[in-house]
Amino acid sequence: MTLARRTTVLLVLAAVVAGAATLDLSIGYDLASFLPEPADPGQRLLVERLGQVSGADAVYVVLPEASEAATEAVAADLRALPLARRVLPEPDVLEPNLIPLPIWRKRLLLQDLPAGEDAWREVLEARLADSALADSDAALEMIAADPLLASVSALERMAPARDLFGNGDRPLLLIVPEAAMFDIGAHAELLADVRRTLGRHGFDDPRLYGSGVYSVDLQARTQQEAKLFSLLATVALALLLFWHFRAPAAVVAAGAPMVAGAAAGLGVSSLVYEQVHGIALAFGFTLLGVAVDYPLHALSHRSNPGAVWATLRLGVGSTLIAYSVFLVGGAAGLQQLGVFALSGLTVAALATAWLTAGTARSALPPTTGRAAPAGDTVLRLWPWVVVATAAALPLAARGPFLDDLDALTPIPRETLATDAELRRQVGTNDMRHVAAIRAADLEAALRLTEAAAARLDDALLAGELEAHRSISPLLPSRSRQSERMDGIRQFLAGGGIRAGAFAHAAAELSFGGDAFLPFHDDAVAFERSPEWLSVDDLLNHPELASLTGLYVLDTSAGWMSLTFLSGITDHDAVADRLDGLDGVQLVDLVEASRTLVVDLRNRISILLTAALSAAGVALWLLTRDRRRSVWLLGNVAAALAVSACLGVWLRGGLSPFDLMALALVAGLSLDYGLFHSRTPADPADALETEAAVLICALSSFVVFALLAFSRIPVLAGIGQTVAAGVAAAYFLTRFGRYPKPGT
Amino acid sequence: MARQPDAGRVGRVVAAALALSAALPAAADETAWKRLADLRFPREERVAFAERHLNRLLRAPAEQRGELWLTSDGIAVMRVHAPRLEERRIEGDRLVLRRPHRRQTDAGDRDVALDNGTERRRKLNRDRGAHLVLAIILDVLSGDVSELRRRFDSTLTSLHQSAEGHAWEIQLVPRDSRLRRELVSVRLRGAGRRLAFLHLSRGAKNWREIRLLFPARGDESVH
Repeated sequence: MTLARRTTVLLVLAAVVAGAATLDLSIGYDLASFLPEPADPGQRLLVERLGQVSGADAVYVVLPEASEAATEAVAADLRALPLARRVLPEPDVLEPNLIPLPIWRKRLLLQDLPAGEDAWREVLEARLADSALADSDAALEMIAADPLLASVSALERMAPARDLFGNGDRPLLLIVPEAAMFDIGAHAELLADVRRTLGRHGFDDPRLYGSGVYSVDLQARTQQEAKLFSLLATVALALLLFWHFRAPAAVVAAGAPMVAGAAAGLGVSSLVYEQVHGIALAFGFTLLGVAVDYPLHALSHRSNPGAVWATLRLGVGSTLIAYSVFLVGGAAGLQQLGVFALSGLTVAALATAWLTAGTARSALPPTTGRAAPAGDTVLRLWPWVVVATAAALPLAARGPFLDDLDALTPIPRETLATDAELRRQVGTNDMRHVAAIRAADLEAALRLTEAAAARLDDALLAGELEAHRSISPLLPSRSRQSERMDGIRQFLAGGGIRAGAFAHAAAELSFGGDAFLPFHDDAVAFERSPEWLSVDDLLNHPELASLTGLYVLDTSAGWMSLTFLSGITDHDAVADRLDGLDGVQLVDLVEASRTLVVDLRNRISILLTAALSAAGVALWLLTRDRRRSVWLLGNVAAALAVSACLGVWLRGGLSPFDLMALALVAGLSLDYGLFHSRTPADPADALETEAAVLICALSSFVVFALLAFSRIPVLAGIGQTVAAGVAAAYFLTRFGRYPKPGT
Repeated sequence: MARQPDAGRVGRVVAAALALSAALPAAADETAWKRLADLRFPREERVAFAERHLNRLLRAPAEQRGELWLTSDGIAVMRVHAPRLEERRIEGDRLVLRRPHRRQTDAGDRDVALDNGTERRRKLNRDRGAHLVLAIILDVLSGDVSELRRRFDSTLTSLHQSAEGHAWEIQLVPRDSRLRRELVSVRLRGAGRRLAFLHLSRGAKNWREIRLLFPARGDESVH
């Protein structure tokens, strides 16, 4: 069978496997599956929340220079969009039909009834003033049925974005999406609708903010860049391979094993796992990059095809051993990455063997060039020692790692600053400081939340923080609801609105005797058939579900309730106040995420070191050549050091993404080293080896050097890391050895 | 023989009379608007007020007392002193309401000062009946009656001579039928260039009125 036929068969098989795999493939985005076991309560909170975020961030629409009437007209049209759940600001909620039904029906459980005439007078004085300012029928109906305004008060204490129109000269709208946080497709659709709607109102260049907007923009830019760089890389690679092989069939054949490997990786992953993480796939393809070299070596050795396989097997074997470390990485995502890379590499190697077996290469023209000297190879140790030392010194001095992942975000600084300002302006929760409250059951968690809130109120009055928000106003504990139920019974036993403290206060303030009859009747009905307010009431309500999900979580270890704290001026004092409440922990989420990244990076570093060590041991066992093993590992280490040094210089440090790219550098360096350190059988073999390693290095360098110009920092970082590592590895291994004279 | 009236002359007289009669309400209208525009308050001058209102929840009118003024940047402020402290600021077409309420906390209610109390903002066009009066106050205090002219017909009635000057009453009736469903009429009474009384009616059992308690002439000090 000819090379072209074998290539066709291989590509068809790969397409079938990939097609079948994608039919059954479910891609997950829960970052927690990549993170190490949480080491403290803050990390635990972060990891648990990552997988359970139920509601998406709002879209902030800023309409500069827009009049209020224009802004309201836009808001009215935006409310009609199918993917917009709410558009804020909404009309005032002093109308019963605008209050979510569970809250309205069970409002008597949301607030204590005042005790005594003075307390009732104070409440009714406020309603008297309200009735002077808002005397529409709906507002008066509301006051009559809910003189405490318990329903409005509970919602106001939970809700951000109360006063958008009133807060200055920036007309601002908030769109609460229907879509879940990770449903980027739905977000993209919503944003397209929003832009069209704004365009119809003459806002052709609207300013939109919010994490959903950035995700969609980033995805669009990433796809755009990926397409551009894939096209550029494919063209460059095709030209390079054509220059090398001078046969179109070889150009296509060189890519086929990698395609087959990727298809196999997908197939095995979808068979083994119900859901494969997006990151496992993305970095799986990256690690698979080393497989491109296999057909290049095999197809380049035409004079003595069998000779190359001893070295290739060594390279494949040591890389497989190195990558197998991911299987025991301790995180489900890393394990998936290992399964993908191992299955992909194995199939790519087997595919290379089958593709280039027998007479398949006979059609290729021979490699031409200046004859290389053949003979025993002498390995120099000093080049990699010098380079590794020179590169390691600045790394040791500055610290190689970048723990501020914000530095990697492609979102412009000005956008982030405006985003923060908008969130501050509308009073959305400051997500940094959280009191995490854990208990075995929800009732215990809610009671603890109430106890914590009482202490936080003291902190608030002492000026130690500006605000705290928890689920308590909307979902009191059952015991507190029960106390309030007792209060209703006492109120009715004392005559309700017709006698006692309420009646006296109301009469004194000129309220009519039946003015609050709806309130009284509801209290009577509620006393006869009380219904507790439950978490399901809130979670089953379309408008309350995401709000509730922000504050209470049903975790595998029980219930967790979160109290968000903003404007903390004295962290220690607030922590002291919460001290002694068993199950309540004050957490700094920024610090927790920083330590989590540090732990993740440490884990990957340890894995890479283990992988390198495993490869070194495997090499020594397979070759029984200690000097060659040390030389190979030394060159890998030097290439990694150069690459890391460049990363620190260009980007301020290495992120976990760069570390994954370094794994590829290690695989490629090992490959170049193995071929450069083998003893060629004859001058033709020497020439073909030189040419093969050169084309391998050139192809990897060109692809990743192009990627280094990406505007997406993570992609650019991977490109820079691999391109620098490939260059360093090639030159170190190429000039770190010479043929022994006279052999 | 008596001369027969010339048909053409009669026609011209009738036309002139019609034109005159048509011009008369317009002239009265203009005087009313001019009078209203002249009521403009000096900035930062405070005046006491007593406000009464009646609605379907009340069996008798309820009264609030306080002071109002126009700030140097054109914001009308009504600070209610009794029976309950609160401050209403009319900024353009929105109302900012501040109350030194008791902050509702899970630990119980806590007193919070006015400056740190709740602050509600309402758009005045949301609850027209009640808020129109605030918009009218702002327009009258600032002497900018263009919005009122757009939305109301006015009638000026002269009353009598008083110590403060010539007493007058202006009645404003909404032009728009939709607005008329929420607001029957607005009556403003005063003397000379001072507004003394404003009554806003939404029906027999739904009205508000504000009485401005200027110091007597010769005692113009700010309250």
